[in-house]
Amino acid sequence: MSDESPGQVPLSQVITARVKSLSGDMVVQIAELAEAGIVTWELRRDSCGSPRARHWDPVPWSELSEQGELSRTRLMGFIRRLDRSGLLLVYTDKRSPTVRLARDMAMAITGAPPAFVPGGRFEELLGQILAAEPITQWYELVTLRQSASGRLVFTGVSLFPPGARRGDRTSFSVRCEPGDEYGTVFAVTALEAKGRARLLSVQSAKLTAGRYDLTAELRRPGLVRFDGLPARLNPERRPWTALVASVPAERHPLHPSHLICAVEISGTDAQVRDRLDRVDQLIKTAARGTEQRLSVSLVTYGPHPVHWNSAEEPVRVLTWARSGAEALEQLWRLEGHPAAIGYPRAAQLECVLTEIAERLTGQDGRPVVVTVGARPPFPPRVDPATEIIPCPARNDWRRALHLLMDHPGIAFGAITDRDPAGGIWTSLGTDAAAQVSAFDARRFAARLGLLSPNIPFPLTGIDASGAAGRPGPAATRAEKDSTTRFVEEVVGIGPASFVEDIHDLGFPGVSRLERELLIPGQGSPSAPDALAPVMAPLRTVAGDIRIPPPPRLLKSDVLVSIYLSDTDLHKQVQAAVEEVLKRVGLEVYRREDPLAGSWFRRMIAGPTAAGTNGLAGPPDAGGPSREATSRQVIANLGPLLNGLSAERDAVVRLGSVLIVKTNGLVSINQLTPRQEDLLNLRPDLTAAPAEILIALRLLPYEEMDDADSPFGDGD
Amino acid sequence: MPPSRAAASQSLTLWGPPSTGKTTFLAALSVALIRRGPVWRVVGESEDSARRLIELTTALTDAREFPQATAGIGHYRWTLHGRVKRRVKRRRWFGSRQQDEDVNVSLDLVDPQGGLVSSSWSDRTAQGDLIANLESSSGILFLFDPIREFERGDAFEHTFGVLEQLAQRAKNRPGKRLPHYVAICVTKFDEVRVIATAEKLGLLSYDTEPPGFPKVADEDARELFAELCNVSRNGNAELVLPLLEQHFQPDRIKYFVTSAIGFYVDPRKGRFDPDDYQNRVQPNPASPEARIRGAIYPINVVEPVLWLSRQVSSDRAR
Repeated sequence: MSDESPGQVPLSQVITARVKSLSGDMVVQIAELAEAGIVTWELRRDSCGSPRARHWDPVPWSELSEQGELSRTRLMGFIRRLDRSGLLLVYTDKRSPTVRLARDMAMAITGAPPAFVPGGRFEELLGQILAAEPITQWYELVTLRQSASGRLVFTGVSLFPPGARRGDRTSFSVRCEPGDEYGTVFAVTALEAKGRARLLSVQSAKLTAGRYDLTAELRRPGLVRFDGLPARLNPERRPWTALVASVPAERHPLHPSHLICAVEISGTDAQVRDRLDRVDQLIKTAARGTEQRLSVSLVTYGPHPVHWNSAEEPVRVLTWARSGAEALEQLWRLEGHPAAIGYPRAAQLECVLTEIAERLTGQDGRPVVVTVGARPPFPPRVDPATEIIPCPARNDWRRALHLLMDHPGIAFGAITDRDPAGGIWTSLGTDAAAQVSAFDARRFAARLGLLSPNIPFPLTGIDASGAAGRPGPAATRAEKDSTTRFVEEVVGIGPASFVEDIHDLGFPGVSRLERELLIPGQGSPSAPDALAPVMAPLRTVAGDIRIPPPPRLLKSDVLVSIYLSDTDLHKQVQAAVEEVLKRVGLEVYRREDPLAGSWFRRMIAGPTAAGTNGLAGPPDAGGPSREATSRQVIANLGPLLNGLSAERDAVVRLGSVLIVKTNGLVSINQLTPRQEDLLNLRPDLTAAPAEILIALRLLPYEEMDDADSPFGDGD
Repeated sequence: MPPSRAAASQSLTLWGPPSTGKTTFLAALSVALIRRGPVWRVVGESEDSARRLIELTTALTDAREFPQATAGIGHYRWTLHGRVKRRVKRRRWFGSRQQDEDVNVSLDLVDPQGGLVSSSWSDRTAQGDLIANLESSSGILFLFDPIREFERGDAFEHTFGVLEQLAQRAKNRPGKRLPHYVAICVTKFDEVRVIATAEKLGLLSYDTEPPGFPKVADEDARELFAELCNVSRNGNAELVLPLLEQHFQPDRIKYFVTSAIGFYVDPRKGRFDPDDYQNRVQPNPASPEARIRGAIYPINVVEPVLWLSRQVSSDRAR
């Protein structure tokens, strides 16, 4: 790589010195006079402190020539367009007359001779120089450790300090627990001295559980290679926020679980047999995965009869909170029994959920309700959408499901004969959903928290037996807390500088992590626990009212909230809200207690049995779309606007329709999903008329003419 | 007042687009007359007709099945025997008085097969029979099935064709409308979507007598008919009402909201339950096959027949 010329500093040293001097946004520019033309190079440090080079396509000599001759004027113009103060000139071809002429002209222009690159491979020379550069930030491997309280917290293994160079190696040990289908994540971060951290690389490998003695080698600034893994590391494609969110709260969080399997025994004999088989698989898998800390209930159900005087086959509780073995014994007895017959379009889902809700005490472990079947439930009363006859006992699946949802930690799984097209089966499969024909018992059980949770990052501070021990040397350094800070920043507590590196930030002010964790069913069952430190500050105070986080909703639910500055008229406004809902086929079926201060009340509405449209129309099992419901609500706001006429300030949310009244001015808005997410994240806004308009970028009607769309950028 | 000795003869035609429930209506009429008491009864004019009537009726009551729309049903003959009150004039200044009159009402059930502009000989013959039948009738029971209209939307096409041919035959009455009395029956009141529409329009009231069925007053029936026409599949049903009123004299038209099977009543409760009233159940939504869930309670099935009979009798008395 020598570029020696008598009396000159070697080119590599010149470039090295320039690279060392780079900081912040500084740039070194180099013009390479090559056979094809002039190649412009730019050197700068990336956000992790690693020196990076990039170049542009050569500007051909013909563009710098006039009448076939290299033009001094044009060459001068080209060179002066570059930063002359920091410009380095090199040439890589001694034989080309054009290059030689350009070299001479450049020397005359700049007063300094361009340096020759021996061998003519400037890119290779640059690569060697940059790879040999020492790193300027701490490199760490993101790991987890078990705190004294048993919780998993982020920490890191120090790999290389600032000043480390290519070829430096460091050895350390980690323990890997079973990862998910993507494997265990090896993420390397670079930390600035002031504590800001950025991801350097994120890879993953499918590993078996155990201890791994690893060696990290610094290949060049920004590139760390791990030796000692039995599997190849592949680029990780999941967003960082999802990876963080997938970390369970504890390493061994498995509390006793109560698995309740409700099996539909209507349909063909083959269908029933397949369902029983899947339940068999699930119970066996869960029994193994929970180390026998499992109690199992088995309930069967079929259809109601069509005629009142036909025999009713009721919901049968075959076993309740007994061992897996006892449940399996009962299950096997069902095999060979003929499938139940009766009304063919529905099954007693509403009755089985009611039965479970009545029996469930929570004393037998964390409830896990798994429903296996195909048919929809009987409605509590005439249902114009499906025209399925009502449940004779008038049981309401939605009410029963909400009663069940009140049990802390409850999880819902659904195994269906076919892809559920919305409705109850989507709600029943909130935490795990599978089809009979493609059932992975282990994966299904894991999603329900019936197996030891996946731990997506390596663990440190775990002894050879897998027990939590003293943290190893690599994790004891006080600086390691910086990694914890880094992760916390990503989670959203701090300034979250790293978040800038994640694309698709979405709504301003809402990190992707926050948004993802707000969407039910996307995170693992442990996601809420992982989010606990984030959610805690969200239980915010709006004025004199403390607004709790929103409740868990079914897919068909509409969240309703009313905030009034004047408490005297709350009955009138609430009645008006319920009238509007009634007009669009919704009814409030759950009301939270009003919050005193001003007046705030949150309610949940769902489709009425009469549906959204009383006129004769086609059966529509899927219900109206979110858009259609919003349009209907807006078209029927009359009673509510009358009810609010005497209010000075108010915020009424009817699903994705928001009515805000501030200082007597009314604003009616259809919220985008992102805006709804923000309200779920910041429930305090629904009791803050002035703030909500700013936070959602909404304006009262009166200001709309001269303003941007009050509905934001849309989706 | 003793009835007049010679029973007057009338003929009523049960008319409607194909598969609008005419056969079920007839079967339900038999049950409704039994429920109503001894004054009226329906009998078959021949052994075959009597047997067919028994089959239709027991299908509804025992098998809880809807009778099949039978091809050739027009070959059977049924007659309603009953008694109506007729106003008769007294001599000179004594005004008029009510007098019971025995009547025999011939019921013709015409079920047109094929299109009314068909070129086939058999179809043209059937159409000719239909038109001739209507022309000679004293009164017409026109059945409008809102569910079929929503799903198929062929009421206007059928009605228009028949009425145009009927009007063409009556062209010796220039400028005048057809002379028939017409009872327009909006059927399937027991269907969820029909009753929901009536409720939304505020047209529902409830019988005070058990089992407390909902009802639509006859004076509101036209409004419900008009509203249901508006949700026709092809949008042409809204023309049916003006078409009928254009061809028949408005004071000779009366609207009824009817149900052949009525609402489901849980025998253990014995009362209409607004949360559970579906008497027609469709095991497979993709198949038109349906069954009857409980006992049948025909609604407004006898009333249009009696109204027509009274109108015809009164006309004759003038």
